[in-house]
Amino acid sequence: MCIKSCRAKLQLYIEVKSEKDYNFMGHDLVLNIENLEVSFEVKDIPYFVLRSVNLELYTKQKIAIVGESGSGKTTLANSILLFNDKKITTYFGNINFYPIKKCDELTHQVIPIIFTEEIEKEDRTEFDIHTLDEKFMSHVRGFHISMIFQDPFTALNPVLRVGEQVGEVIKIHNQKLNKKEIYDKVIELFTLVHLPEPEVMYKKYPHQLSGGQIQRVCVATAIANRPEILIADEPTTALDASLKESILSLLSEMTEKFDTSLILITHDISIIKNYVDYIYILYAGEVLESGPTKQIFYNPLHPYTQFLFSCYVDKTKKGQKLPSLPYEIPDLSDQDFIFEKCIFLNRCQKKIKRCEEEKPEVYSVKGQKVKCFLYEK
Amino acid sequence: MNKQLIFGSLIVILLCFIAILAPVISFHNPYEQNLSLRLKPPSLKHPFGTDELGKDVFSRMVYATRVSLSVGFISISIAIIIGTILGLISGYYGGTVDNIIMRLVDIMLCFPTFFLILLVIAFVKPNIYNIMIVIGLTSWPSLTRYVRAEVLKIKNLEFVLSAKLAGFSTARILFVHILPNVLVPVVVTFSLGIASAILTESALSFLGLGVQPPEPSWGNILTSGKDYIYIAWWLSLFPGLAIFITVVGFNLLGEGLRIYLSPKEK
Repeated sequence: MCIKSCRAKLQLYIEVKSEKDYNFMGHDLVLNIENLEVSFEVKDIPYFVLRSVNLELYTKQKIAIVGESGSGKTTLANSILLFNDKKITTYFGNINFYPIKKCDELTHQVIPIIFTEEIEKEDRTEFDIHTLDEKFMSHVRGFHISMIFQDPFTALNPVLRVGEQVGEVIKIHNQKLNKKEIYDKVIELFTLVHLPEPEVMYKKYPHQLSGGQIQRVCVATAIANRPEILIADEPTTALDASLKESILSLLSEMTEKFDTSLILITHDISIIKNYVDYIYILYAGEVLESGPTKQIFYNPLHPYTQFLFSCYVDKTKKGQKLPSLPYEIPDLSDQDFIFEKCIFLNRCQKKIKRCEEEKPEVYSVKGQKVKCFLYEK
Repeated sequence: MNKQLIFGSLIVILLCFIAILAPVISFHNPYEQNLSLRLKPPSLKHPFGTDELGKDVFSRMVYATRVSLSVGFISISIAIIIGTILGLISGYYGGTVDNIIMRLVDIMLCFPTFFLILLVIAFVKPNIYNIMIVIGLTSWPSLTRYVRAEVLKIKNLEFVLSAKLAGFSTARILFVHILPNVLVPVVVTFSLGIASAILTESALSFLGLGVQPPEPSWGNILTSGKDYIYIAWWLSLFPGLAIFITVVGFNLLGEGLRIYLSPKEK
């Protein structure tokens, strides 16, 4: 496998952390994103798609990244896998991944996926960005971190049998297994994701399956190698309302069973309440608020979060018009605006004069982290 | 199944049988000369008559089927391999690689292929193997375009992304995941390409630059026929018909396959 060829290069970055650094609330830290900045350069204009994003993920933790279209949810997920278009993307900041799989030689070492190093040069500090090389990354992808996509109808190859496609993912990371063992594993996975008649399913082609069944096959593919992190990029958007809940509960069941952590990306805050532990509210590339699910739901602090919940349809709002915000997401290439002022400024109904003069810091309020001057102590 | 497909495949299967069973079907030695039987019209003993050296035209044509089919199959196989691989690479990588390959295709398409082949044949020895190679090396560009277009269509679909995310190598993604999805234009081009390769070979042989006598070929039987066209019509008619039927057969097969394999017709 590719680990060996990459060993020499990786050694430069690896620092073994002491045991206590990992533990938090009895669980191990698996992913730590610090100050991540991602920018895309399109026709010589830089677009700052993500700015100072901090995120922590622990084993068995299920987090949701909520935001509207264009807020950078998918870019964040792709950054964890270094899957953004290489030619136009610039990274800054750190993404550290802590593999915990017992079967892997890399257990309890830090894999810095994106890693910024300070270099001091004649009185000034410069930064050097390292990213993991593609060869090593292809080992991490699918084996340590896997992803489920939005549209189930294009997620499987139309000309291959579904069982073979799942088997292929197992085979690529476990070269020693023979055909029979892989077949058994696939059948076992299909049973786990509650697909009816797994032996029959194995031989079917994607067009013979329903959307819900395909999404279950995708979940099976994603958990095939028992990854530490499962990223689900809007897994329910293309599905019927009745199927959404069942796919979400399947995902959450899988994370419990395999000690996997789940990153759920969604624009629909209403459906995730029972399935995640922690929520990040993303807006125009910044995390405006983060906190445990219950607190966010019962006591949203940031004006944007409050607005999101006011759009939540329920019985009490019968007959009323749902609120909408004026203006659109700010231009992400406008550096004066996005680095100097509050990003939510022009759409905020509770803005104060200070919002236009400087950028708010992140304030902690009873376990919630919120980026708004209203909560400055 | 449509009519074109059935009719086309019947002709092609028949031709293959004739080529394979050539020694059984032909009851004369195609190389045997008999000057006392020069230019005899069709009879029971010589169904398609004899040529200017007294050789049996029917036997020569049966053996020529072997030449035509093998030139068709082998030269188009060469073209398919080159065209598909370049198309896959061009479509998948994009950017500079794509530009270089596509400009190469443009250059190839600029030349009138037949004259390019004539030019090459002027320098190398005109025999059946060189003909196969030259036809193969000149008929890949249009296929490259087809394959590239198909690859562009599917390379951003999620199953390709998820294959990348599962850690598959680029070669595996290209040949296991993308190739089966672009096979339709390849299969159709294969059939249509054989027809045009057979035509090219006949034309070259007719000009005396292809298969050299005494080796039989429909093209060189036609050539010998043209000198005697007023007194021996059978020398021109039967090879002409054979070429016509073969080309129609392969074209019908290709067209039929295209209709059969396109999702809209299902």
